[in-house]
Amino acid sequence: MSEEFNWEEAKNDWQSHEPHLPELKKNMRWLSMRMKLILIIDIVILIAMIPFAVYIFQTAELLSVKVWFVLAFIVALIGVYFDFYLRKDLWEMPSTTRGMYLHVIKREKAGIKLARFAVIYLSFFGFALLAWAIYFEFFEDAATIQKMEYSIFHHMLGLLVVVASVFVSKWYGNRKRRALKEAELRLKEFDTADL
Amino acid sequence: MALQSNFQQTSTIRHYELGIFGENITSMNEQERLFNDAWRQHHSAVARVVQSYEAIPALQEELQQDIAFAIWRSLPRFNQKSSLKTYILSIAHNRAISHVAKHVREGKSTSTEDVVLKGDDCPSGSLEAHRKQGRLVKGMQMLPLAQRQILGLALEGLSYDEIAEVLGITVNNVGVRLNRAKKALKQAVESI
Repeated sequence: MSEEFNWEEAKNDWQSHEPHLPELKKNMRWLSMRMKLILIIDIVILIAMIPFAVYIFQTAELLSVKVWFVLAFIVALIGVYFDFYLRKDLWEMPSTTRGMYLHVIKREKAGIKLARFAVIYLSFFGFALLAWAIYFEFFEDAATIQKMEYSIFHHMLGLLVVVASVFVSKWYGNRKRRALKEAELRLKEFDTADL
Repeated sequence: MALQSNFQQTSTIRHYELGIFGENITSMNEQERLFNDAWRQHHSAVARVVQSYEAIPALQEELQQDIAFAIWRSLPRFNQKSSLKTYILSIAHNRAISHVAKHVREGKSTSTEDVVLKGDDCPSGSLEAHRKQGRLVKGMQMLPLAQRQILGLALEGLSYDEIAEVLGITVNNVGVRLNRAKKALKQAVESI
């Protein structure tokens, strides 16, 4: 059954409506501290890698271990950069709706960039791992292999993890691409709402 | 008002704020007090924003929590250029947009029949009022995001100037958009 709609009445009805939502469960102070804590941990891990690097490069470790460490450090560095970038809106909120739409678009683009980087880098990482395995299997002398307790099984397991991560990154990138399309559509809808 | 004087104090306190990542933080206790006051006064308006953007109860809870956190973080930066209500509503609507983008939906993924409104089972005379409110919320949820947002702000009693400020559009645009949105809401409500 339809009734005549009256704007002023609707306004009163709307303002007197008090939806029942559950009480806030999380403590704001804790949420705020947790957000900062994650970023601080990021930086601490990065800083902690420096003495570790000094140790690895000063001791007579294998060249391949050094190469591995450099690759891992680059991953950590870029990971931290993206972590900061993607969380930026938590402390830098745009003040207008239009700004928010643009911000969402920027965030989705950052996600796509991160996914693209991960796919390329992890593929490179995977190939490096494979090359390292081949080197160990066919060129490294038996004494070193024994000393390092090298196992092809562990190596292949690592490769499997890298391949799985490439697929996850691909999936993440596709999801972000869909979200970007959606966000751009919303912005267009917002911009043309009065046309 | 007591709350008003709290915010006047904030501008003084702000000089002593500690900055992490460019944000302004008053002492935690002061921030908590500001938040509690503001939340007590405006949580119903926030709940209405939540309900108009998200139909799934579990996600409503998540969105409410998100908005509360954003308000907690933004309150120390409140500069009194607008009213506190406008400020809180702008945060709420902007967080809701971010929420919608994250969940890639417009609150339409569940039937609006699922929305439980206070008083749905109320046997008293206020049943009529609750029924009307229910139709209004359902009507809102049937509209596109852009219209829902402008209507939400207008229904809360914000002026054209305030709506323009929140949305980042001109006052003229507000007039055009709002008229169109009112017509759409009328159609939606009358079709229920």
